[in-house]
Amino acid sequence: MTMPADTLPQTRTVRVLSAMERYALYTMVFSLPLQGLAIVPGTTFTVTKVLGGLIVLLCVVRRILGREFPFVRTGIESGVALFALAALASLPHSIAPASSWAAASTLAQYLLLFYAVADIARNAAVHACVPGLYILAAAISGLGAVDAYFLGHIPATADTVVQHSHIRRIAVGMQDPNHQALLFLFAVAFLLFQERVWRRWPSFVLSAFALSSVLAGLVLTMSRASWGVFVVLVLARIAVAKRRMAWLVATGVVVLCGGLVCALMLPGVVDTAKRRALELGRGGDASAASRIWHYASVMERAEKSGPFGHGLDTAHIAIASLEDPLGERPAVTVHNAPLLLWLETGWFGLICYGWLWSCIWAALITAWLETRDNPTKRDTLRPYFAVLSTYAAVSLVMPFVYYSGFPVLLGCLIGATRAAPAARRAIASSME
Amino acid sequence: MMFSDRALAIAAAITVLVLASVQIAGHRDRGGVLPEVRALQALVTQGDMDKATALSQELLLRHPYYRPLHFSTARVMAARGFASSTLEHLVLATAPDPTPSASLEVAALDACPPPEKRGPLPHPSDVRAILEDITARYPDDVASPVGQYRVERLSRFMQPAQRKPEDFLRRITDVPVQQNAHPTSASEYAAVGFVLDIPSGAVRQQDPDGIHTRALLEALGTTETRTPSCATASTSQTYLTVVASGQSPYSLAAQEQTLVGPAGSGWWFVAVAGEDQRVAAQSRFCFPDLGDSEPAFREWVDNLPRSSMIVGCASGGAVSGMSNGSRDMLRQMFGLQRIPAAETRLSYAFAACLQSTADTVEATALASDLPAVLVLEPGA
Repeated sequence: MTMPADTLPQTRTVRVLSAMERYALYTMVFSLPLQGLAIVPGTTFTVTKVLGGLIVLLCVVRRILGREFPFVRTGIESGVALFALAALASLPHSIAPASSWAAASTLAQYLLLFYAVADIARNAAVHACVPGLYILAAAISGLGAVDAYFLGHIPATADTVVQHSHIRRIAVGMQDPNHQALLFLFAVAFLLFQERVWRRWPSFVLSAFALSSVLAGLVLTMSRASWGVFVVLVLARIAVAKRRMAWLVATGVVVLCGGLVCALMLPGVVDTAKRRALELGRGGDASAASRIWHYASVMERAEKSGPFGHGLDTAHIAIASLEDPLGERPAVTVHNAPLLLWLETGWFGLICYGWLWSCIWAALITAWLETRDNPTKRDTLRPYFAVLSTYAAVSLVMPFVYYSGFPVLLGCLIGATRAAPAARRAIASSME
Repeated sequence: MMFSDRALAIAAAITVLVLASVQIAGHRDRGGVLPEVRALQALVTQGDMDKATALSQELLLRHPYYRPLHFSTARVMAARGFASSTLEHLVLATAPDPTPSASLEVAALDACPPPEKRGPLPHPSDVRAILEDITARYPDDVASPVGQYRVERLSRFMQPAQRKPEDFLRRITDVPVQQNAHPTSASEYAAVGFVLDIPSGAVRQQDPDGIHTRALLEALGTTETRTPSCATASTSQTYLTVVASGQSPYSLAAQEQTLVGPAGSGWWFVAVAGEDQRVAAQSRFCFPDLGDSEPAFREWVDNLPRSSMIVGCASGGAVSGMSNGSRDMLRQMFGLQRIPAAETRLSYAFAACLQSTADTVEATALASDLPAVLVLEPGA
């Protein structure tokens, strides 16, 4: 049985290493929504990348010093092992071996990072800090986007105009507005589903301000898929609330008042957002087209990719010859993570990917059921349900596979699930 | 516990904020070049010209007037041996910002994109190095009339104090001018003055015979076309020129009068009354997808006198950015056939009668750095 790290007898060295790990984890979590700005001076390395390596190193050293196996048990080993097998199996037949090996190396790094974070995140104190840090960073990113859009003091890391509709998309933090929108959604998930951030008045005010900033940033990314997921998150929050009517009324009031203020003060932004939303229904919208007719063509190609696919990170090559009904070749990648992995790792990879997800859900649900007597732990786990659901939903319309934020947040999630039953056992033993 | 988690979290936040501040300060020091263009610059530095070519073409659609992007593209084109394209992109990379007072403020009647940042200018020594390299390797391309025009623009950027555009004008003689050409009109002088950023009076003074003026216009692909019938009823002696180019202001010249249009994005439309050739109305449209452009434009046109001639011009960026529906609408309303494709980024101008599309005339720029110049000769 694995005990939580903070209950083990610790030497001074181990405690120092543990503190360094937590500092690195907090820095990495805080840097996630600001990755494009958090770069080590004089290099092109992001803080996330550098500290990811540091965390793995520190964690392995600490565990070896503590005479433990270098990697913690996570409960999802079978899913991880099978998916790793599928990724490796796709390599020999890769249509672009260099890209595939580079992608495999990236996934291996993510795997090590996940295990290290999962170990650190078994410490309950980590979960008192991670959501707050992440929300704060996302709020800063949202405020930065507002400044970049209206004032221009802060340079946007992504500032593009959608061709034909002249809609401007802004992000401060990531170089892809869709990616930034996903990170904003994670912050929304933490804000909506963690009750303790709203409990006291100072926290309430700060959380309301952070939510406003994050929503402003989310609007300015002009990511329609993320807007849709945001609406679903709000509806889900209302559905799971104990006082649904109060939540419903509060949501209605906020939407009405916020909408009215925006319509009066920022009619241009409201008009732009409206046009962006309506674009989806237009046949000429390249973005929507890439997610509809593209799926059918890519599925046909994936079916022919055999059990092991075309190789990791080869989707853009595998579909390069696809033509739309007008005979043009759209320069877009596959906007669907499972489909993309099906194409790259074949049906074996797709099955393994499905199994990995089922392992993650099983770990989360099991931890949830085991903590029915512990509302504090449930309050820790609840936002991770939302984060995981958000990532799953966005994965269906976006190509975010090789993305470092996911192993970090997944590590936190698994860490939370592994900490939860131990805490419950501690409560039970104390009652005995 | 040795270190409180709250202290560690605060330290972590401070670390990231400090790094972000350093990054923002560094961004300002680098002149604020867009990250995707920095990626292109890195590819050029690494010498990966295949990827750099593909990326530059993709980025040019998104940032048609972004100077660092054009400079990097010029480096790519020079490395690949395309002299004309190298000069084209160098001209766009060194294009000055239009003087605000030089252009009219015409409010757009639909949604326009925000003014595009054009980024910092390249260093003159970098431009000179590429130009000298191209001149040494491809002297014929550089010596062509269009090449000379481009070199003149680049020289004006590199040595602004020593340049006299009038001197340049006299060097343009290589173009075979039509033998039976008419005396050069005031509006042609105005057009050339506009193209060279000098007063039309100076052009006339330097080139009283108009040979060089017409040579330059022909080098830019301009041929005289007959003024649409609706504008010639009582103005049979009037020439009219329209100039549209890049991010510079548009212009419309009739006789000695020059009307300078708005600079930047969008289409500029001018309705010229058939009776006395005065400007009856003007407006600007950007034609975004899903905007109210089409009904608004039709309403604007419906309110014009039916005998009017309508003159329209657009920069390459404005043509690239317009919706397909609006493109079809303009084609149908005025019988337009030569609106450039979006990816070409070519400027465009036309003149048409409201009553009939039979004698619509159009002009398209030869390259993305060159103006579209429409010269209308009087009708019979």
